[in-house]
Amino acid sequence: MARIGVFICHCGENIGRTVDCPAVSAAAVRMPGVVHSVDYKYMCSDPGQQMIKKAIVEMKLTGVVVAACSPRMHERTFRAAAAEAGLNPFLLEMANLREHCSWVHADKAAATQKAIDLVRVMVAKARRDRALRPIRVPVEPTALVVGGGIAGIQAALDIAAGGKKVVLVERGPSIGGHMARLSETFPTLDCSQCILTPRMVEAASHPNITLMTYSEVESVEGFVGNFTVTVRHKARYVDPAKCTGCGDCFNKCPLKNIPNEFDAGLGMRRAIYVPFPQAVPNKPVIDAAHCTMLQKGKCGLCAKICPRGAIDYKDQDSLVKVKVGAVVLATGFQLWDHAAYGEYGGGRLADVIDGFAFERLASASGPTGGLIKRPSDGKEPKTIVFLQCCGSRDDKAGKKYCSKICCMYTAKHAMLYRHKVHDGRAVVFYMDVRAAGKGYEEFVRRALSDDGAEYVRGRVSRITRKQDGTLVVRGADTLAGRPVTIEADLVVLADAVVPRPGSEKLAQIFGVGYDQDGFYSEAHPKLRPVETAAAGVFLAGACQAPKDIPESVAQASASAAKVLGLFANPELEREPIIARVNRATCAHCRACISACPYGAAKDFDVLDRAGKVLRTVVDVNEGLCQGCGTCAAVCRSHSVDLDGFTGEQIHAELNALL
Amino acid sequence: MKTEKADVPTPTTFEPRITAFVCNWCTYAGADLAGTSRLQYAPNLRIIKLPCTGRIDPLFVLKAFENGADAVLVSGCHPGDCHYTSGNYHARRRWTLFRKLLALTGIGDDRLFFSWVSAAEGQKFADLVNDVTAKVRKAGPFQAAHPGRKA
Amino acid sequence: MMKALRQEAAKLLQEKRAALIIGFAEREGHPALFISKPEDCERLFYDVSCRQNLAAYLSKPEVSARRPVAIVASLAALRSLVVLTAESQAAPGQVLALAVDKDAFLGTFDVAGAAELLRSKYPDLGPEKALLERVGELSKKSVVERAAFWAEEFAKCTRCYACRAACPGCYCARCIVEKNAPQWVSTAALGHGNYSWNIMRAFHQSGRCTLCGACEAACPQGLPLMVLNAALDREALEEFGARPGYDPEGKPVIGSWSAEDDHSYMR
Repeated sequence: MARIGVFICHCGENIGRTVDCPAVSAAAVRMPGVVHSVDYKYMCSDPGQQMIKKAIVEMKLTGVVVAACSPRMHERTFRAAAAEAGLNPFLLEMANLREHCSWVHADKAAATQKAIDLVRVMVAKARRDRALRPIRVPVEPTALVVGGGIAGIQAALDIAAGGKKVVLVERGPSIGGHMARLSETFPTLDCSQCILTPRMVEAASHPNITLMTYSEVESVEGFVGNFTVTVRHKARYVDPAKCTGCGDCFNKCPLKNIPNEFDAGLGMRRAIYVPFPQAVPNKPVIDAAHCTMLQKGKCGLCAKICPRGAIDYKDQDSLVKVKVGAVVLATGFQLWDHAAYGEYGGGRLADVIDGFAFERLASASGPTGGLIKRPSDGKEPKTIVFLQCCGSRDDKAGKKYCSKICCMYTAKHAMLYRHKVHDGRAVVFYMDVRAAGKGYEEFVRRALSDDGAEYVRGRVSRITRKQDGTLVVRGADTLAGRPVTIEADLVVLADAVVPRPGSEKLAQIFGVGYDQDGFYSEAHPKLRPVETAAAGVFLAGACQAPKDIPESVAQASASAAKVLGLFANPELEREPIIARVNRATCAHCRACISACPYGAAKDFDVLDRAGKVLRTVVDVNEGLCQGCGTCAAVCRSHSVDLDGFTGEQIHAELNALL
Repeated sequence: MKTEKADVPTPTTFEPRITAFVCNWCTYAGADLAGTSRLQYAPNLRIIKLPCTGRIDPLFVLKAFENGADAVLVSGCHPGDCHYTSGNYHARRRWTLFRKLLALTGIGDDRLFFSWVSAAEGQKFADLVNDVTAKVRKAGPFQAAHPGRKA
Repeated sequence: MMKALRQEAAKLLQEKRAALIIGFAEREGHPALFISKPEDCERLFYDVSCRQNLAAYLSKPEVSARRPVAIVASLAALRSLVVLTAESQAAPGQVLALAVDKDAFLGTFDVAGAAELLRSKYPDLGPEKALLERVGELSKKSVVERAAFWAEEFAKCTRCYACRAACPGCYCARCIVEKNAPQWVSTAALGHGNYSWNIMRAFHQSGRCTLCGACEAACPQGLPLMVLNAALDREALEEFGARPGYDPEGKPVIGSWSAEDDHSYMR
């Protein structure tokens, strides 16, 4: 038999002024299951809590209802008190007499009646409460970082510095990401590779970091603290254990004219290659799509030349399973394909390039050795037009959002160009210059005043190419209110920042939400900016939204702090509000599997003793379930129930109400 | 001289009984904010707290009507704000069909209300309760003749 | 037509592509016929007065123990087969359909073939016009009149659950009405229990009902159950583009969502 104690708080005058607390107490003691009822000035005070603890012990209470403020205020307090008196904390419920009653009603009779109703509802619920134990799950103190750009490298280094192991997975043959491609960085103009490469080397040599390049995440099982991640090692055709990175192979490879992705297609690479000289690991891979040996079985020159016998044409993809407790997604971004803008040449004009191509032209280690030469004929351009917001802030043909980094890098481009070509003309078409950041506004001002960049406010409507290769840029100067036409030798489009291809698939693998543009969703836009809806999966860098380097690094360190916080305890403790399946009545219609936001509802085979499958039902993974109860509501036969909010409890609450 | 007043029968005041199913993270917190802001609203509503609107089985609504509620309010997080990412989207789908079914069988939109109230919308919650109460007061008691109510 | 059906059924049994054929008998009421011998296929019958949806047998343990099974399936029953497959109630490769439409035998189809047939030849199956007119008429009435209409109709319900037994979608191992702790739906054949039962029966079929009409045909009291089914079918189509029974891998309407779903009624 239930033995419920009801404790009614006056909250000084806060409840007592409008609710007749002794009358509520008198009504409560007559409710079914209630053996004790008392009202007191301040239930949350030490004497108030003592009163509850004493009653639990002396009256042998099996459940408690504290009628006081909002449970959001003091539920923890009272549950802790109940636990101290030996009562399972989940056998205590709160009726909200303050925020939901005395503070919002003036009529004492009506407020008192409502208070009695609210107490009756919670008594009905408490009578059907079951003791619940917090769920404890062990934590595997190894982190997976997906993406080897600056965000991923930073997160990996910070976690490793905290003494935990990290597996860093990178899709390409080298870590470094886009930052390795940049010439110089705003607003300080320090050389990108000079500040990045030491970190790449540190990541590769750190004893706590395992690097997996040329690898992709294939699938994930498990939940926070206990993920098993399957990683696909793509075939490199070069045994990294034997290879010394001498470079003989890629100097001899007869295929010389494969556009190098790293150089935005402006430079060439071989079929066996490292993407750039400072690559980490500095060991080549064979591009199977181009290699004559792999395509036609002829050539084999690299294998002949390799002094260590590291070339293996029979190499195959392999799958590796890693056990990790937390994941940092740092998959970064790429530039939007401006082919959608037919008026800008639709991607067909060789001298209309994107920002990365310009970075490679300006980079000392780039295909032109840092000389600004236009792609079509290698001439030094005397006029460059930079177009901002190419695809950004355009909800018709492009993206609705602002890509955030382009105002700054365009100012940088204009500056770098003017430093290299003193008699050149840099014209920037812009919508607004957004330069909020430390030293950013000053940087843009410098581009204008010291480096003579010409800023024109307005959009470009058309880019055409004249017979002699000159580009004619037609647009509007909206400040002067007149059309402008500029003849340019090169046009640089500040294409919108978009997520990497495949980012949505990866989000689905990890159960992370993403917005309409494919950027990953944080758990809360203000207060949980690095967490995701999937417990134990964190975000770093531009995979979440367009970000510059300092922001990406800051978020990477923040996610590392979250990971280290998670790893600080050997076990995780979770609220035991989770769904349970009645296997005897589950018809396996799978509606709950479709509905579960966390992938916690899964098929489960009921086996006989010989291991034969008798039938398949649904089971809920305790680690993944977050307790929303959506599964319970879509289950037509009520074979799924939610601890803490069971059908029986809600039924009783409704019956108590009316 | 006798006034006519004595002859007029005192109208029995109808106090609507409204059951609300709300989620813990948005609307319950919004109701808390209405309280901490001391916003006054009609005392006719009783809240049943659930973790998420996704938890609400249409049977809960039928039960409330069956037990004599004059109206039912369902309220949760705005689209995109669900603590559980998509529980409210699932709920929305369910209600779109369920309200159609109830309307066809005699429980119309003067009895069954849906809203999104965030944790920041204390004022919206207070206004909502007042408005729903006024509408139900106007609509009168849930007709005893309706098949969904206990005789 | 009947000849082709019988020959094909016999062939399926002979070739062991089916161990059991479920069809209709010729005698009055056209009850279901369970055939496991090729020579018995001569007893198979079909015309439009065969109102049962034989897909309802597929989830019965007595039938699933005798797979592979072939059923004589009207277009609605074909859709039911697709729905049951999507809901993991019909093992793919274990169920065949001898498809019939009015007075034509369409051939033998597996689930994928049935879905393909429906998509290509019958992409727009929905409630009949007369039924939609009934829904329309009822919708035009006031809320009070609608309540009165259903009070009268539901009062006739004796809670025999023939509607449930006839429905391929009603395959729960334990129906919610049989759950008694707590008892959400009163089992007494009275006003509110009858209301809850009939509302939940219709709601549980929303986005899944293939409008076969077997429930209404089975009802000994003549309740207009198809009015509820048709109204929900149109609503699910208009709001969510739902066409149950066309995609064996389709997601359930209740149990999936889109950010674009309408919520103009939410305040």
